[in-house]
Amino acid sequence: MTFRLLKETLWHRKRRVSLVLLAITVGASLTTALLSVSTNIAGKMAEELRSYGANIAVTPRSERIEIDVGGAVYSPPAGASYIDERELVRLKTIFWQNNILGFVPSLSTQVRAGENRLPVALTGTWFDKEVNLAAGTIIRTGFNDETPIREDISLRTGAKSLNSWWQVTGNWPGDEDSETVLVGTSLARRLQIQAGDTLPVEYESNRYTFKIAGLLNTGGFEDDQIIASLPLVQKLLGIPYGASRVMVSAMVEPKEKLAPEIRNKKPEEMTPREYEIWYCSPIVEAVSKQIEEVITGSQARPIRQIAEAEGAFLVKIEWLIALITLIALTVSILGVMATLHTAILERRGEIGLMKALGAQRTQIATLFVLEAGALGISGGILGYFGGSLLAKLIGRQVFNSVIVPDPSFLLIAMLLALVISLLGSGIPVWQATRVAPIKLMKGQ
Amino acid sequence: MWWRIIRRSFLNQKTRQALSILSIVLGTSLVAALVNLSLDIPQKAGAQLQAYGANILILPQTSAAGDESYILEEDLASLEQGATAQSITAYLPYLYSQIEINGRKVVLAGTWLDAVPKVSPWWQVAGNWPTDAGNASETEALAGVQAAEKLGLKIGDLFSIKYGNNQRVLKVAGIVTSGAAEENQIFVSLKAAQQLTGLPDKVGLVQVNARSSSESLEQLAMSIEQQIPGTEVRVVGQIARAEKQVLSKVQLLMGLVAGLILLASGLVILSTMTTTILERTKEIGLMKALGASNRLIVGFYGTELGIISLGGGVFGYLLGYMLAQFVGQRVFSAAVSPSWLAFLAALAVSVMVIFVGSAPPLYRAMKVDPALTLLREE
Amino acid sequence: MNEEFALEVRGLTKYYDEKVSALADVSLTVRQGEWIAIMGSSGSGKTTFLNIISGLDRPSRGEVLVNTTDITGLGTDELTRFRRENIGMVFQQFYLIPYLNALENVMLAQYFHSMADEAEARRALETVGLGSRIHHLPSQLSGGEQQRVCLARAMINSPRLLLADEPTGNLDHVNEMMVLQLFQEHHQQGHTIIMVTHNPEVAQMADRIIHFTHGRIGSESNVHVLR
Repeated sequence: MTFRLLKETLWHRKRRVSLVLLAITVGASLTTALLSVSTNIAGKMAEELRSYGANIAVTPRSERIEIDVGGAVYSPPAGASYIDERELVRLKTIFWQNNILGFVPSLSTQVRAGENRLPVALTGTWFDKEVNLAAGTIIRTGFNDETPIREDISLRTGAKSLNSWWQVTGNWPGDEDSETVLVGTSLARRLQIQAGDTLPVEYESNRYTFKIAGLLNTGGFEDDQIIASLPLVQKLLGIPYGASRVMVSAMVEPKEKLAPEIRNKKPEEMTPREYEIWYCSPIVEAVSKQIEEVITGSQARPIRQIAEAEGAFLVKIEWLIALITLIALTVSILGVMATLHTAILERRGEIGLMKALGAQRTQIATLFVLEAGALGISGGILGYFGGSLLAKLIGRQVFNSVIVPDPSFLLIAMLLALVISLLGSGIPVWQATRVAPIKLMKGQ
Repeated sequence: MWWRIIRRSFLNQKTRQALSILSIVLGTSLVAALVNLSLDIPQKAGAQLQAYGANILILPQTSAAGDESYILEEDLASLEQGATAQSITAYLPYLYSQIEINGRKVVLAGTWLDAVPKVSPWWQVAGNWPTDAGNASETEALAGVQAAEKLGLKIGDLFSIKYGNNQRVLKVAGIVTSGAAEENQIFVSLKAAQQLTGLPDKVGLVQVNARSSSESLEQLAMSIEQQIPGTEVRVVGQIARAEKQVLSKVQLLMGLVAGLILLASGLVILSTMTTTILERTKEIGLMKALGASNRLIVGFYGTELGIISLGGGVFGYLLGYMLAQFVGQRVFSAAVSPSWLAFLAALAVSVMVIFVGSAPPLYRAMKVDPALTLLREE
Repeated sequence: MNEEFALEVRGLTKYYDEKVSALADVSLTVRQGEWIAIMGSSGSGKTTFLNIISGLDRPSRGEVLVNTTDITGLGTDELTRFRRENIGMVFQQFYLIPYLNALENVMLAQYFHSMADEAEARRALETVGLGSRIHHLPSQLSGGEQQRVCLARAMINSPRLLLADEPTGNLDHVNEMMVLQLFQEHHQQGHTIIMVTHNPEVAQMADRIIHFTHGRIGSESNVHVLR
């Protein structure tokens, strides 16, 4: 009988029921969508912030004091140490291999360019190189675990992808090119040359003629330099596979996410357990450590300019979205409960009638609770799917990637909707059952 | 009589009216808070992104012969005047030279040390920042962490540097870590560097932190070039372009979230109001049976709804503003500026939604003769 | 068309779809000042009849002339105006605006008609014996008191026709008597009353009883034959 009543109630009062269902579904959708966004926002923003470029600088450990003027590192060949270009593929075998988005080695020296033999920096680098990991290469999967990979992995990396702000008019040189170069726009102006021209260059009494494939504009020090492929400069200096610096772009999260006890300690001061946690956290310091472990003779240092600003920004964005989510949730919950309360108010006559017919308070309450429950669960499920769609929409529009809500949100949405509808309907129903039936039936 | 009816409708139906107003206040407060935030956040986020450092670089125009050229320090004063001054939050001149320490070549950088944190807030200094004491016998300096390590310098140490025929004794006041070129350099005050290298009033480059929006950055760069003769001014692509990209994402995100919340609030308010009106169909039927004209009925309910929506909208906006302030303070430690747009949006939402929500059932009640709602065939 | 007739109905038919007709070819006349009781079982069409002559509903066929005006030709707005100028209604369910007090509920009818007059409304409520309860809300009044407010409201604009649909159906005997007494006083003042009732005792108070069966008039009988 109860279910028949329930069915009748829900069916015949379609319009009112659908309004209540709408309110619950909207609340649940909002909950799901906002929760999905707020749990994903850090990762998505971190990916966006990679457009600022590398956040880790890898250099050879040496006694030499770098002469870094105008953004180019001068390394006179005698007695200098270099990073082996061939080892860079190991960056994709570290514990955080999936967080390494790209790496770009470079090698600089000073040459004389043009007819007036102007002293100019020449830097060799990767433009758009394919790096391959053969199947069977061992990668680190846990603090103490290793696995060979099953298929070949290849990765494209280079200035083109890492330095998104590099603007080239003309063409990019190839990564094995030994003759074509890019010239910074300021330098081109000074030398009065343009793309397609040839450029005479002199290094240690050797003369070379390069062809200018394009002009490079970055707004930084590259505008005063000649940029060439890495092998070109390596040949010039006679340092095969050598690089004096590698810039690495890694997806990391703010250090604030670490437990406070660990956050402020130096790795040397940590207990083994703490060290393991630190090592396996996606923070820039841990990734740097892992890089030093695989590249011989290297030191990897977070580029504080990028890493600090990134970390601070991410923390703020996460807080922002979290607070907005919290506020929106609270307000929607209250709003939905107000709607439910209003819906019950108009059904007081029904409640009075039931009481007049002899129903007990608990029987009446049960009927309404079941109805509220059914609406709550349906609203929760519908809301979950609605919210997932909304979250996907936001993900695609803002980040061009997918935001997928955690499946546990389905349960959360259902439970939340259930609780809200039980409370929102239940309380006024219980109150109404206390009033004399005749008053209820008269609409009081 | 008309106002008496309206007054009674509120005074004698407190719970029902309160619930309606409550749901409107809640809905509109959310909308107002979000609109306020989405208008304000991009600016706050932009200010936050200033921490990435200089987005404009002022360099001296180099001669065709490639000689060392400089900018005059006194010319920099024009950065503090006129329209450019409003866009610039901070600037920092540098003078670089190669010196010798114990026979090894090291880069010496002279700058306004007290202004560095404004432009490069990520510098981590162990020890103290040098005090700008020009002519003292021990000039204080900052040593980059790698340079210090390789030269065996510790905080408090004295060391002598050589430039050409000039010599100077420096004291390590602090050691700086940055993960970049600074770690291999020695820093002194600009004046000290100028004295040592015999280049008084000269500066090699200037880093500038300017408020963003990349079109205006290009224009700012051009006007600085005009203001300070002999310069080439660049917009640092790495900083400026990335900032633009990130900010547009933040703006889009906030906009979409605001839209989402607008929709949700609107729907919740709609369902509350529709429920309320549906319930009052009987009342409408009675009034029609008593001979009230449609105009009168629309007038009553319209006024009632108007009062609820305006009252609810105003309170909703105030609550929303407080919520926006709370978020602004907690996240950015800054006040959110009140926005007329948010106020209008809150009002628009409440008024529009209420009328949209009430219109169909009211219309239906108007069309259908009250007989069908009031009386039943027995 | 006789001025003597308060109501003339000719060939009134109402169907809801092809098979169900609530009224079939009903014709009758009511003189000014007459009290008509309409009786019949459920589904006999008596309420439908009342709805149509009050202008709340429209016939499918036929003519209804109230004081020589054919209301079947009027538009919705005109019908509304017609109602407020000519008809007073009392329903079985005592419909009062819940947030207006007794006085204001009566003033409402005045307001829709022409102008609210508090003094007149108060007098009307005193006439029905509620002089001391004029500021009470409907929720604070008993069933009988509420119905009396409805009566005061129905009569406040001196309507040509007072229509009542089971006005005492929801009242206990004491209240029923009180309300019927008021109807009688109203009738004695020369007003025309058309009342639907299922109670023969109540019907006996009228001048004429008309029986409805299956949408038609079954029989008519004069109550006070000797009057």
